[in-house]
Amino acid sequence: MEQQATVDLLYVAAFFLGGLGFAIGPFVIAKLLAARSTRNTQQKTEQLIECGMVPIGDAWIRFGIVYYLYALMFVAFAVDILFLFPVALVYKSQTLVGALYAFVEILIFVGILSLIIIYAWKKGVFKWERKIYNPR
Amino acid sequence: MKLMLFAPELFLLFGALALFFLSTGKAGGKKARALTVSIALVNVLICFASLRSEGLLFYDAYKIDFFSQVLKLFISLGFSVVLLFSSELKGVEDEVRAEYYLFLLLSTLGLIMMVSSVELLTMFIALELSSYSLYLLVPMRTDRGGLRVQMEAAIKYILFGVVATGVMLFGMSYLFGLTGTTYFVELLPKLQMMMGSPVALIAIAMVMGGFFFKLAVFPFHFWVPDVYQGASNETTAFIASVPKVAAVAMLIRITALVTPEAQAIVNMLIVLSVCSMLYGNLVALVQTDIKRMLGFSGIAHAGYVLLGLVTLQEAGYVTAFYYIVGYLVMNLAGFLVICKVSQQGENLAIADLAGLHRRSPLLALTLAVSMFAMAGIPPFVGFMGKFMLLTGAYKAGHLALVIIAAINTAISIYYYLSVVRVTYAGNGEEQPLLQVDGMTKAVSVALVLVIIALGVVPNQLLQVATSAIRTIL
Repeated sequence: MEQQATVDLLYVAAFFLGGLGFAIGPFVIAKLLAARSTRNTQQKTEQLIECGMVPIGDAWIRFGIVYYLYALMFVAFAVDILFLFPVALVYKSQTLVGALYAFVEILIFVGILSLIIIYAWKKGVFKWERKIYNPR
Repeated sequence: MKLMLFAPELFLLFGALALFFLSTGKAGGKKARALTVSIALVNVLICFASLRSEGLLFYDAYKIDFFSQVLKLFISLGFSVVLLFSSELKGVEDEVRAEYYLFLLLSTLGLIMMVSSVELLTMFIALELSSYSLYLLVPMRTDRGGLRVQMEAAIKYILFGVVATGVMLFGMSYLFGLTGTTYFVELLPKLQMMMGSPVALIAIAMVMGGFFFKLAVFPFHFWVPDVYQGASNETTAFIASVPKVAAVAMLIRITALVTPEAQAIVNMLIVLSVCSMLYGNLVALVQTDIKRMLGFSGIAHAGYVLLGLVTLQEAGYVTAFYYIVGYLVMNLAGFLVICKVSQQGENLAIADLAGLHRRSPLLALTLAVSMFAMAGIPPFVGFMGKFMLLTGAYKAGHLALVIIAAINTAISIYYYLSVVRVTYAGNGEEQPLLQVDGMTKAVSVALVLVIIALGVVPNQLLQVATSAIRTIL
């Protein structure tokens, strides 16, 4: 019994040290691998940051907002699919829910979720046109 | 018929569906409003008709009893009152009004489902349905000053909301880990066996956190002033009143899990109550924006409500219930006046109310009654509620808490009555008379009458509250 407790404590300690290593490790690695010359020593503190490369231009450019609406729609349906996985797991177990019951329920669920597409359709998200941004 | 038990929720769901299809079309705010008002009023009738129904639904996760049905009735009534007096919806643009009403309806649906849920996850989903809808309502305000205060408010609201939700979910995971169940019926005996253990206490305290956020109790109050100020007047009227009723109901349900051995929970509630009261009242003293002032006063009122919960007795729960219903009515009366006096949906400073008694005597009277009631002056409902809360806490042996609460009531009188002073004695520059439509007049008269009636003859409501609380204890 005594020994078991010690082993448990060792486990806890090991996990604690492992977690600590994950937190401190990157700092150590960064210290070892980082470039010796920094932006400060190279007199480039005013320069924009672009992942270490020499930047190719200003970040303040205009880009199409239309794409983001598509991305949002994608997220909506990705979440939809995500929720279908647990349903698929229990769908065939007859003891939990009846067959027809489960079918109707999932139909309602997907039906409500697909209202998203109707809304987006009606509001013209699927028309690929350049939207002019007008601040109100 | 099991389906009839679910009638209020089902009706609201189909109403929301109808509003959704309205929002996809070209229909403006007028049509959406007509539809929403009729849905809300019919829903009040349905709730009233199903007041006495009982039963269990959805694998016992959803309980219909007198407690839930009474609360559904109050929530529907509050929702209808907000809709009735926000007739013009000045702060929201016409093209998003259909969506606005849709989310207002869904939020009410979430609250109505929350008071019926007797299982942790059902409760969580209902709470989130109502919260997410509210998060969306805040940024729908028209951008008036170009400062986007409504966006700031919405972001603050959602971030603090997410934190509170996280705390609550963490607590739920502890509860599930301790007992292996998420049903309140099974939780109760198992939790009472381990009431002395710190984990159980922490779990319960964390689950309460989610509702402290809704009720704006001290450590979860940070969203209140900015959201009250940033959201349009009508949205604030809803956020400030209706969700708090449901939050108190759920707090009562959770506090009922606690047995008197858990002195730590009682101490925590006492500390939170004192902090909420002191913080809310002291900060409210210096506010110039009336919605912000009402926000801080809401924090203080949340502190008063906790006085009922610390007793851990049926009588305390009943008075907390009574008080929050009273708060719903007096708050709605106050916000009715704000919505009507605000000409284009702008925020009102307290100074803007100067000379209101000449511009519209009825609104001035409504505001005065609301403020007197919140300050706790007889014969209004606020006095009766505070009186019973204080005597209840005194009988339960919390003398120090009672003294602090009494001092706080005295502090609060100053800022409530300064509003009344400005309204009646302030000499604003000559402003045109306010045009108030008949419906608003009727609603404000009704609210004033209810505030007085509940204060003079509280017995009816107390009996209802007692029998409601008995069904869950």
